[in-house]
Amino acid sequence: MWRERAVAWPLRAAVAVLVALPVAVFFYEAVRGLGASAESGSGALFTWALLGKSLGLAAMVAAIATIVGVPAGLVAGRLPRRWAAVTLFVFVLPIAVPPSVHAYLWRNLAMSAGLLGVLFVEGGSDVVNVAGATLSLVGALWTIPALAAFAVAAGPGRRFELEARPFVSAAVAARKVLVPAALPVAAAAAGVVFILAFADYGGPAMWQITTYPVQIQALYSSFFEPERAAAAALIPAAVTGLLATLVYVAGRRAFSRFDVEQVNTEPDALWRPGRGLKAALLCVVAGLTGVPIALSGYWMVAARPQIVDVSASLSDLLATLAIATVAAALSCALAIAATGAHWPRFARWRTALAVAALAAFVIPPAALGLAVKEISQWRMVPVAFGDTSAAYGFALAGRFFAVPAVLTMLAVERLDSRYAHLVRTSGVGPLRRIAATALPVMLPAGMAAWAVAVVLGVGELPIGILLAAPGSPQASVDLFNLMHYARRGEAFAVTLAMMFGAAALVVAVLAVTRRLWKRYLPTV
Amino acid sequence: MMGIRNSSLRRQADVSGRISVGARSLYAVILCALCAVCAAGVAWAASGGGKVVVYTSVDEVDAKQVLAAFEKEAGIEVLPLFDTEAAKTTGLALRLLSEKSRPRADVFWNNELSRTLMLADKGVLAPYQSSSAADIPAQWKDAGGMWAAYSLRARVIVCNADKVKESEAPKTLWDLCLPRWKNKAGIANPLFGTTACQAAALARVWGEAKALEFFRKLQGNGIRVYDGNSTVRDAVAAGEIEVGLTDTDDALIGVKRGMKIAMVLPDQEKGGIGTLVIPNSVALVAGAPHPKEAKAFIDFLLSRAVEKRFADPADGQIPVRGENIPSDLASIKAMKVDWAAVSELTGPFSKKAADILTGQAAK
Repeated sequence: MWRERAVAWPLRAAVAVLVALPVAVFFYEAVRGLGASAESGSGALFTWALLGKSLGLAAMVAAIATIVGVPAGLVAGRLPRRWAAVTLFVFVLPIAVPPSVHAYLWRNLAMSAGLLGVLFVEGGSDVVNVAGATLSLVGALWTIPALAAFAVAAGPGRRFELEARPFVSAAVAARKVLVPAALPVAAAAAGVVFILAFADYGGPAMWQITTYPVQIQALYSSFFEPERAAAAALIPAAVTGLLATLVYVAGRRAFSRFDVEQVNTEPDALWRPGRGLKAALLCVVAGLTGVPIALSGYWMVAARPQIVDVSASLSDLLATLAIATVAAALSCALAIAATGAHWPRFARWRTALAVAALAAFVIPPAALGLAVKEISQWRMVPVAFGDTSAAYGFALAGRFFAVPAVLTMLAVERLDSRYAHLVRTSGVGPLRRIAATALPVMLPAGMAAWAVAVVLGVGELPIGILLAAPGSPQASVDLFNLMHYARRGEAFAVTLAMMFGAAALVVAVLAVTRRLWKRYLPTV
Repeated sequence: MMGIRNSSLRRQADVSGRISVGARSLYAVILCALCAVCAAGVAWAASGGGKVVVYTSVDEVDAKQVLAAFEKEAGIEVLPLFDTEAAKTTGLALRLLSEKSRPRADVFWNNELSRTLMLADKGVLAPYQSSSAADIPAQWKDAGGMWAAYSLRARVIVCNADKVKESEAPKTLWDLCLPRWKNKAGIANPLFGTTACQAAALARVWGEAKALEFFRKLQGNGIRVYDGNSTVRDAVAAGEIEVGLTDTDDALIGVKRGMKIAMVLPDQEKGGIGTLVIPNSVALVAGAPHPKEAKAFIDFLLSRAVEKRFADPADGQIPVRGENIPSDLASIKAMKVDWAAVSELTGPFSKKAADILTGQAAK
């Protein structure tokens, strides 16, 4: 037992430093801000109208993304293997760039067609703006439910469907088994979309819609009132925290439907989409992802940007990708180690780690960035931490720690309880147990989480503004400025590089994950 | 079934503690990769040499040329930090404030003056009397050496040349409240940049009540709020709106790119308040890690040669020394403002103006 504690405590301390410390600094600032709010004249921290508008937009985006994404994912998961792989790559593309880029693209299209001048009539602008912001956010996030449904249709869920086949037709088995199995996953994915849409700053701002993140960002950057901004962030943090909890619960339920073991099935025995559904999938992918990519390519070619014009931005993109990659690796390594050290014992500690991780995920990124900036100012912290990209990477690792933490916990909890008992009573030391038993099970989930954290980290803006090292510009700042200056050709060249670069990296990692999964996971 | 699974797991991940050769190799690779990353980080942090850290809100394209020229001339490496164009100055000022106890920047090079004054007031800046500032007029430098300013830009109205005849173009800011421009005018978000300065300057010159009435009338007239001055210009050029408020440099860059836009200097009539002219400013950060290099950079930036470069017709900036003024800006009537007062008003008043324009004030 003492050996287990000796391993667990340093990892608990590491998680505390990475996520609990910045969260504690944030809450300290928020409490100070609540006290100061009455004295300041810069407006109310909270209005029901603003909350309603922010919630309404996020809910609408989550609903549309789920309605469109889940059927698309189910159909894509049952395509022939090669086409399924292509679709998987396409699904990763839109998430690789921030929603503000999607907003910029759709706005440009509307402006080019002269639609904005025509549609912006008295009383009608809100309709156009809300529709534009919704489309932009849906375009950026709709593949998250699609990827979740894809995993169900192409992954271990097939086993249950196969068991039903002797009794019913393939279509009935799909309707009675596949669709219900996908619903909890769809709910969890919808929650993730809601959280990301609710927290997004760039998309709504591009369409002139003030939401909570816009208000909070303004309080941070314009009024130099970090305490009031932190206090204002408490409400959205609470809302997203509640959602994150629901997502976690739904995720656990979703995972409880499946065994982690690999199942080999005969593809012909299962439901396959017909031509109509394949055509519908093609239309959805073409409309929401193909159009943005085609337009980006068209505008890039039309503007004929010189390599020298975009070389600096591409170099910044590579540097940002490297930082995001390392930060995601750090958070995944820590998540795997911490989860492994708290399995099968210390279930309450596992829950505590998940709560801390989610808290760092749901507070606004600017708040987390400022908290890390505050930590970098402490005398006990080496100067190099703030002078280099270390603080930036640290903040990214802390913000996205929730992704590997939750996924690895869900994966390890799926191991059979009798096996857990066997491990517990075998007398094997904790380090060997982590390496030999928990790690192989968690590794695929950890690597998938790493891929998600890299993609989200590359597009992160507020943290970079506060923490990026001088002389090391951040790709999302470059992109934002190119859009702002209306240097369309260069902006879309960087957009395409960001999309395909990050997606290629992610898909390569997923391929490695699949191999590791096959190699390490048991077969029946 | 369970037995099969458990025995299978035992096969893959030996509970007796032995780890397979493949797994060992994988863990070794992961460990080596983490060590390499840590070593690279330490080496990066330890790298020194003559360098200066410059936080700047000046347009990146212009700034990079000046920085490159300085590097070439002085042999000092410049590590610049830019903000997003939409939040320029404000984001950097926040960062400087949050780094006050342990400064990372050496120089704050600002594209306006009010935030520089605010930072000086909060003790973020240190005095430095640059020899290059000797011939800069007294109104554009601090007597105590806390800051110095150069190269002015003016706030202008930009019009779509196809849709707005020269005779009907707005002549004053109040003209933007006329029914002719209902839903056809634009402005950048007054929380940020030079639009924030203009809002605060109007509050100072007109009085707060009249300035608030002006913004209410603009909002009532359906003015549209954009995320930056260049975005306003682009919206005008694209015909999304017909007129908009922006800066001279943004307007002149648009003209240079062939956009069909025209520039109007507002409030130039007899008895008019004139238009706001805003200088760039530069200051030494208190506790700068590289003070010697920082002073060399400030000297370079305030030199006559650099200001002349900014007076290029494409940049459209007006030298404070009164030389090489672009012809279309030579007779500009400037608004008379007390910059210290403007600096105090910039935060609170720009928030009020932004709340009005975005419809938040009434909610």
